[in-house]
Amino acid sequence: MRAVETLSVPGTLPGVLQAVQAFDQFGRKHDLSKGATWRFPLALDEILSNIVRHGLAGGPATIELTFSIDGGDVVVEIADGADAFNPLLAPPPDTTSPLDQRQPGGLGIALVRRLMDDTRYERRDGRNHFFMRCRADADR
Amino acid sequence: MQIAESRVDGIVAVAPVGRIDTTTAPALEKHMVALLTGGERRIVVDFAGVDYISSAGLRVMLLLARRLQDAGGRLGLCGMGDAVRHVFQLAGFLPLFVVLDTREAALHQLARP
Repeated sequence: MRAVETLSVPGTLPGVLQAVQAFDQFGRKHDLSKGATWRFPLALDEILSNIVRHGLAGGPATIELTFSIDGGDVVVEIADGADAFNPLLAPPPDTTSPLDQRQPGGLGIALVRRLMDDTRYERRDGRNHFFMRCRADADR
Repeated sequence: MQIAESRVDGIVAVAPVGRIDTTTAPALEKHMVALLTGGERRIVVDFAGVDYISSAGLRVMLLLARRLQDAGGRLGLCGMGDAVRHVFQLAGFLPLFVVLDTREAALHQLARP
């Protein structure tokens, strides 16, 4: 089975919600597993809010999204025109310090990496492209 | 996001409903800060109605736990479904919190002297 949907959302926090809701519709349409229907919205929330807050920093811009089903996998591509930024190079988060010293930075991208089967970044034609892939029948 | 709230013997139980993410975490934070400012010192957060929590929500939980610790208060979490528990575990957050299965167990835990 192969299905592809593309959409553009504004590079704003309401745009993030719009993207998440679009994925919800995609998930219902293709009868994705319970696991896939929360992993991708969560991952979209993390990656897109990061782009909006840090990459675009309030400037007018759109973010292009592609949702596809490739065999038994769901693949999401996120493309933006902000300065080159590879989130996969971010330092690992603090997951061991006691409460009063725990630093929450970097948790979002770490969650995405751990919830997806594969993540990939490339800079192409002056744009950032972030790909994430997860089994369509992922549990939990 | 809807946030239900109830009180039992000086313990306030907060039950957010839906997703805790970039869009909804600010409302949850505001709710929690209002409780702390209002003098609440024993808080249970019931995740039974929560579909998932993103890092924006984890930050709110960290803030709440720290503020309660500093104030000599107590926090109990309960009702976590698979998605919420999985995220807490991946983020290394489970050891930071008192996590019980049910709200009754959490209330019981916080009612102890």
